[in-house]
Amino acid sequence: MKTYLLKRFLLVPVVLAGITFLVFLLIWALPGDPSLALVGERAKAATVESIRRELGVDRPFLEQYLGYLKLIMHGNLGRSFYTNRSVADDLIDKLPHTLALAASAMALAVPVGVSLGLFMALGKRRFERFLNVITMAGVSLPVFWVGLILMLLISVKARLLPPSGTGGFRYIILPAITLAVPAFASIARVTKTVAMDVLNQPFMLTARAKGLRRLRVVFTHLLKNTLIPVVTVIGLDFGSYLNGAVLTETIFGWDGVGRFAMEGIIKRDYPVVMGTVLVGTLAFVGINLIVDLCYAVMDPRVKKG
Amino acid sequence: MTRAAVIILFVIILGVVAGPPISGYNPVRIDLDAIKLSPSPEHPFGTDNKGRDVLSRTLYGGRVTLLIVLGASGITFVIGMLVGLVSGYFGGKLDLLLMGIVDILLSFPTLLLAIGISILMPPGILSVLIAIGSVGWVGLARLVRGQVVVLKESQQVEAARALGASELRILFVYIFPQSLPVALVALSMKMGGFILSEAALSFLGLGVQPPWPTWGSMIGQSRIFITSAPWMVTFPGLMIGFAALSFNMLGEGLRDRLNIFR
Repeated sequence: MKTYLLKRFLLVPVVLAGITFLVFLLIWALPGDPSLALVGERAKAATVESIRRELGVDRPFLEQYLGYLKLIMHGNLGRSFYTNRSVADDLIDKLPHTLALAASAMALAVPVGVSLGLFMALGKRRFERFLNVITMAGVSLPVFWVGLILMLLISVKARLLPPSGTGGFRYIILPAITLAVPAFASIARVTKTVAMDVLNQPFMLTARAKGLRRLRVVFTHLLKNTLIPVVTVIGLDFGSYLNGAVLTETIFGWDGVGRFAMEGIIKRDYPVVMGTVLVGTLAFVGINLIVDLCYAVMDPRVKKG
Repeated sequence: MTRAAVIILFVIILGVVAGPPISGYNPVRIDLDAIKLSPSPEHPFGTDNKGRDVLSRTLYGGRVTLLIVLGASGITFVIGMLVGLVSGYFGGKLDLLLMGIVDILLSFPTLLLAIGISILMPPGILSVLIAIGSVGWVGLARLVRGQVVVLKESQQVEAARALGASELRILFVYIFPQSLPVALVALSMKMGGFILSEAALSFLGLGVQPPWPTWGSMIGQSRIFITSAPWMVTFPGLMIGFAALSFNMLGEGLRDRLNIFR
């Protein structure tokens, strides 16, 4: 286990280098010029040229990439082409907002999703079919539409909560629910599948046969064995939650990393794009490392491996 | 469930293909005398801020969406299948490299990647197709590879090799057809996701450009009218939901019937 985790740690810089290289390649290979986006298509050639030099986008590809890697090593992420603010500083400002949003969404989605999944696995068949469609609708509805409809019903019609903006508890409820809808649905579906598998294991029969109460069997034997794969899937699905965060933050005007990334991409603000991509990747890799650590805690069999 | 999904899909496809002439309005004709009318027998889905019939636009927008789903599925299938076959069959360093790329892409918010690609290209059907297709193949390739690794050790392949079949023949005559069911089921489960990705890109204004509607762009452009004309947002969103839902149900139904991944 220790050597495995060590390997995973050593892989992190490799993945980061791979991601930065891919994004750099993408930016370089596809047409489009940030300096033109900055000064407009009709600017004088000399102006464009000086801006290109200032931004450093006139240098050869490899030189730009190595220069960027060097910058990262120093913990610097460059400056935004537009605001000239340090990307690292901006990220530090915005990251807590995104983390708060993600944490609230998961605090909603995980308990609801897991209990619903267990209910689907244990409950009556007719219920199961109905809930199957409901949870599938949860993963099929577009996040941005769910957000807009919630905004319409709860903020505009009922006037219960503010429609958008960054702030305290009242502001976070709607975006968190929006982000939690697809998450709880997919967690419920995975939980159901895994729980049905566990229910068929011989040890479940043994537990019942030796006279344990049904509730006790569900909470100790079933829940424990179900949670491990479910946690893995939550970790692996993290990328899709990031997708959802980009859209949710854009709709609700939530000043987080997702919206920052979106704006950076639209304005071709490459340092911002690279910075947010790096943070997103780090978060993904980190979450999955934590998931692996959880394994060791939850499942004694893993420690031996 | 599968039957319900097929019926819904059939209705959607029928409506989308035959719809615009039936609904009786031109989806792009502006009628300033009929701005933001709420749903009525004349305009079942209401009209938008330029007096265009929302039902006609919704039906027309579905064409683009379904076209993109088809195209993206094609791209995904070809790339995913090729990478999976090659990676699984030949193994070694190539396998390591290809699966490394797959791992990196899997750990990446694909929407951001698709947004990036569609921004750097002139927006339109092609950019959306490339954006969605170029990130969609990853999961499929991983799955096909897993199949191939098992299949290439099968006795059937061993027998073919003993009879002197060439590598290419083994790959395409023996292994490809057997990995096909898994690939097709996985693909059908991905189609719902393609609809959502296309909708998200269009919503952000990066898809097919106005005045031609798609479900996503209709919602994106109607966002500001959500208080005065909520039907402009509601109906296209419901269509996205129904289409994605029926594709997802179809995929799951196929999976359960063919008893795959079990």
